Amino acid sequence: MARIVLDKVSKIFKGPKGEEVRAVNNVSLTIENQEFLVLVGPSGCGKSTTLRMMAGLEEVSRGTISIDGKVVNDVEPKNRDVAMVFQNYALYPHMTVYENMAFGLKLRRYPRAEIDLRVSQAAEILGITPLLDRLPRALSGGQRQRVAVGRAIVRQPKAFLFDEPLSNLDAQMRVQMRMELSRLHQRLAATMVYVTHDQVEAMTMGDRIAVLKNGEVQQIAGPLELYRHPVNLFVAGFIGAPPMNFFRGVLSRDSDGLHFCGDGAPAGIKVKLLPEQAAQLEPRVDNPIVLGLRPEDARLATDSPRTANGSVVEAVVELIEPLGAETHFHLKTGQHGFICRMPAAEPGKPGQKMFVVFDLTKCHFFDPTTELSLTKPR
Amino acid sequence: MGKGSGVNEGQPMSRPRSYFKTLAWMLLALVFFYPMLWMALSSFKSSNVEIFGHPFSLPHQISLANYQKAVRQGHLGAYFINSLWVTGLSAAAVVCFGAWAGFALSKARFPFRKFWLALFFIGMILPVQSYLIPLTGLLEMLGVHDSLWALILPYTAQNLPVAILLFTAFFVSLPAELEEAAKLDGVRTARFYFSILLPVARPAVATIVAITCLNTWNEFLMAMLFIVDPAMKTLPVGMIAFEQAHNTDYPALLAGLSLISVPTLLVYAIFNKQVIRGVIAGAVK
Repeated sequence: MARIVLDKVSKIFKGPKGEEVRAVNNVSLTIENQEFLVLVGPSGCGKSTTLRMMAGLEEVSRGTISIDGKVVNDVEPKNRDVAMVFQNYALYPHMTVYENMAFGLKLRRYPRAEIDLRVSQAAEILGITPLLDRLPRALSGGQRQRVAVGRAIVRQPKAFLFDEPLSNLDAQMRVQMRMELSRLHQRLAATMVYVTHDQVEAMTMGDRIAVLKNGEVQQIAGPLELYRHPVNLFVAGFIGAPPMNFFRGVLSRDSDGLHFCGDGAPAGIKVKLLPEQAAQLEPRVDNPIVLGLRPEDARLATDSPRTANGSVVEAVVELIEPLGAETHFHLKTGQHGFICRMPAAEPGKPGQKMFVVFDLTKCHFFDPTTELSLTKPR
Repeated sequence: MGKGSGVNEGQPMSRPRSYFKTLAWMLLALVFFYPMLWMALSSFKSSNVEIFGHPFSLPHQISLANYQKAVRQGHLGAYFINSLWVTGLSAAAVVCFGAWAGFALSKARFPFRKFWLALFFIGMILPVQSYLIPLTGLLEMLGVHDSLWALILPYTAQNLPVAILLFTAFFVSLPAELEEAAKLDGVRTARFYFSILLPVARPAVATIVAITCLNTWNEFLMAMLFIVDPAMKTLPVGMIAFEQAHNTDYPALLAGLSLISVPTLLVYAIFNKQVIRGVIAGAVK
């Protein structure tokens, strides 16, 4: 198994008018041995290009990629000992499932008995033994993706690279394959790099997640760390569904301490900061600031609740989305729209006035210019 | 059609329309099929008088005399072998070079790629009459005049543009991941071409084989101009033997034409499905 290190890696494409387009910019990251690292980000953020550079399918413009300490920038894909699973499976359509899985081994001149053994073992793991004689066109999407994974497994490579492998599957199959791939990672204890734009896949599968935007790594951390302590506005907004609520406003001083006051008139939001937040944000008094709050970190009440810290906001219900296990309330206060995630049985109807209690300990504060996080919530 | 089936709801309404459609298709099929049927039926008739006196009647008696005459007088046996060589080698060369060129034009990046593609495209729109004279000189220069090569080479060149365009379009329509998966499996370019690309391109190969076979098997103008030696003639030119200034032996001519149509019909019957798949390749996913 392998440790993959990307050191200041950049990929520069030539645009249609000869201009330079930086798809990946100065990316440095280390994928530890046996780790499952997920590269996540919106489309065009450079995550697939980064993965393809690891596979050797794209040349590295600047920086180095090393696998187990050996720089592989100029090593051919087949000699990097990595296997890749593609979004559209990329099975050889004229070969049976067995032939598809055995093809790479045949080219490497493995003895027939060894090929048979590896293919049957991989087929057993993936539950595709009855399909070995079928052609890809006779398989469902999920079965095809299993064969594509099987083709990677039989090679017993140093690392597995997955390029959005579940994007072509329906929702139900995606959940099932997600579990199977996680189980496979535990079973094979292999280094795996997984590219996706789906943050649910990222959160549920990755040991660590690297969030990319515009070709640059925004944050690398474990799923919960990323969720609880996003380093900037982008990560805070990208990870989590529904996304974090953002309120633009100003930090102001009152007789009883520091407050966050929402923009616009009527502002609708005035939240008193906790002492430790106030201490951290003291130098920013009278400056613009962004308050971030996850939908589950606010509570709804029909009567004005008594709270000591003045964190109650009055809002109007705009839309209610019952999801069965929970209900999403779309609310508006002043010019700020936001979402509250509440238990399924929470009463309320559109147009109703409600009181929202912010859990101040969970509030995030961001600099609107640099977009960086200014505090670390508990 | 059960109304309660749900899925088929609305179908009973379109029934008369679908009958009309079927009838229209059958009529169209008949329009195309009838000339062949007429040729085959007339080839059994005993004389020109019987053919043109009663053009729509069935033959009085079924006799293979016309066919025997056609084979003997028209030297169909020898010409058949010639046509087979010319058609077979031309089709093989067209598939071989067309697929190679299509592979290069679709997968490799080199300067003036689009220019080369356009150049091949021009080959499709040039009328044969425009290059007959320089071609005659060229064949003489190559020393292949009055041999089967005088047909094989031009036929190959003539059919290559369509083949190149079709193969290029087919290869371009294949997902790039197929090549990338092969690269990671350790496949080199030549192996990729022979083991993966060509087997996958079977519909395109079948289409090109069928089109080239039909074109070359029936080609008349060049075969008549470039071949003087009677031993080198191909089937369509052989048919001239039945046509004389004052008296054309139509029963024998039609018998000969019926015979030489059989291979083309066979080719079409064999490749029919693949040809349709090849022609619509890339149009639908």
